[in-house]
Amino acid sequence: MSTQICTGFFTNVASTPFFLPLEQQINEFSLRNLTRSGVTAGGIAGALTSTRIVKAWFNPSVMSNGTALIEENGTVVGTLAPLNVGNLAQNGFTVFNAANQSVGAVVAIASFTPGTTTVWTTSTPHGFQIGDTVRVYGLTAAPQFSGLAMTVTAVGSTTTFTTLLDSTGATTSAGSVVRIGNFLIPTRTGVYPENRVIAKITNANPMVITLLVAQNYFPGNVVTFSMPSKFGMPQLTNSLSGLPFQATVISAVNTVGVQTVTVAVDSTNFGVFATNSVVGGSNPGHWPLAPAFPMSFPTLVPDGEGNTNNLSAFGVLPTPLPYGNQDVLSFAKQNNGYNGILIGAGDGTNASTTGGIIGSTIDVWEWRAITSLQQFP
Amino acid sequence: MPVLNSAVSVLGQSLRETEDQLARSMMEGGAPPISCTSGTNGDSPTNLSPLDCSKAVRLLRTANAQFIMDLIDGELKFGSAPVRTCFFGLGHTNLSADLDSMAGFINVANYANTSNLLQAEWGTIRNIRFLLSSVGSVTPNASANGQDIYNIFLPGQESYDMVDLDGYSAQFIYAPPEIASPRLRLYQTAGWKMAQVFNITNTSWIVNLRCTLAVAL
Repeated sequence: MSTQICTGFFTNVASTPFFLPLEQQINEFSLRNLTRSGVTAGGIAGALTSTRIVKAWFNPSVMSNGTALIEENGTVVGTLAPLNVGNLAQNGFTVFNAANQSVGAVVAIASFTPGTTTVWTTSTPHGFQIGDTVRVYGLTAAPQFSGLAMTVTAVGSTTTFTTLLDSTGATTSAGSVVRIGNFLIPTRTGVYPENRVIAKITNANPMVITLLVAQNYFPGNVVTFSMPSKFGMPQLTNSLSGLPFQATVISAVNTVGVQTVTVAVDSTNFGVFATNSVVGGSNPGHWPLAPAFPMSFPTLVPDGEGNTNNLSAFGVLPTPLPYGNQDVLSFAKQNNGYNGILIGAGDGTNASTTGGIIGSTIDVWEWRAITSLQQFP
Repeated sequence: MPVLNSAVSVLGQSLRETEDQLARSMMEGGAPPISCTSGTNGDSPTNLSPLDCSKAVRLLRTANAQFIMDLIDGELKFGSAPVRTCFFGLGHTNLSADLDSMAGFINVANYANTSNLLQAEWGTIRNIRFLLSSVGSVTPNASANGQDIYNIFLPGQESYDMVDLDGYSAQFIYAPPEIASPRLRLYQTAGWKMAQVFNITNTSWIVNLRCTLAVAL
């Protein structure tokens, strides 16, 4: 029996969870917030702060994912602050196993507010964070949305959250929602890039595609489309020859809440998204209406990597110069199925519903992972 | 040595099932999806129906995807039937009851010729021969009604491949006691390793046919 201890530092993004990839088994994990403890480190000035979590500890053998044993600063007096100890019930640590991903508890949806983005209202506190991936289902009055996975782009309150689904014109509905991941952690397929359901597509030059789940495409990627007839835009498929419609990504905004991919395609004269011949099901420019149900979802399909030499019309210079991305690896995929630990974000305190380890400030943290190693002589 | 022989057998299965899982996850992430819509269970996607199989095959054939298996000619055998040229449908073993209850489904026992069958093969319908595995792809709670979605991958010829690093294809490694525990020579070890990646080479030649179950578990 022996023990291995790994340590390191990271700087968080304000109000955003942090994913730390770790290969080893985690028997204990602990964090110290150096910045809020008054220590200057990593180029960030120390600022001893009242009512902030400065230490957090987790043992996955005896504690539930999403929680943490924390120590929080009391009121600062001079250069010292007392410590208060407690259990953080939400937005704590979650040990992530890529091969055995957990699904969150089912939360009832009371209603949603239709619009160009959709605000969902739950019957009980949902516990979601910005960047979480959630799946809605059982929407009896709006079945066309059921089964969709989406990234949470805003959290309005403990019982409301927003996604990029354009539900304009839809009838509100009760249903269920469950958390299935987070944009920071690898998806269950363990490969990059992967399919993404399309939220909407513009008729413009260049064509802009918005995705429901934060994507990980980059300029030079080549994509194709799986575009069911109920979503219009037959130009993006070829039902006669079967030849793929391929497009090269010229820019991508992977930021949660934007989630757009711009491709080198002039779609000005293409069909309009979500235009179909189903009576009452067509909803041009938005998501189809209930009569269009059941249906397949429109999907952006990764198709490899291209070079960037022919995109000057779209303002894209070949990079790296002078020959652009010649060394392409067509149809490449990367396996990103690694393990790790997700550190939750909230208000940086132990508050009962809004609390979380990472707060609204940019801080430097020291982490320590302990592995108890069983080995033979 | 009998223990080692047994371990080798189990390790071999472990290796191949791991390869299956890697290929499965790769297809799950990148094969163009279409949902079954012609089943009768009221979910979305619906349960698998013969028409959904035909639609998937139509999509592949229009894209000039090549069949995997040649046809099996009919023969003068009671209860047997010819089998069309086919794509393989790679799915989960939980689909077996749905397939059995589908009108027109032919179990492998009713093929006109049962030689050269794969152990995983369950039967055929509409130019698809189904290979079922316990590591088949399932997306949990993802349907409109919150049920599990079963992903059936239909690859045509040359639609995906496997790349392995030089010298790092599957290797079985045995370490005798002199190496595994040199001090007291208490134990020996056996294991396998590989460095392989699966990859879709043509997204037009592969389809992910998504369905739910009609026959509950």
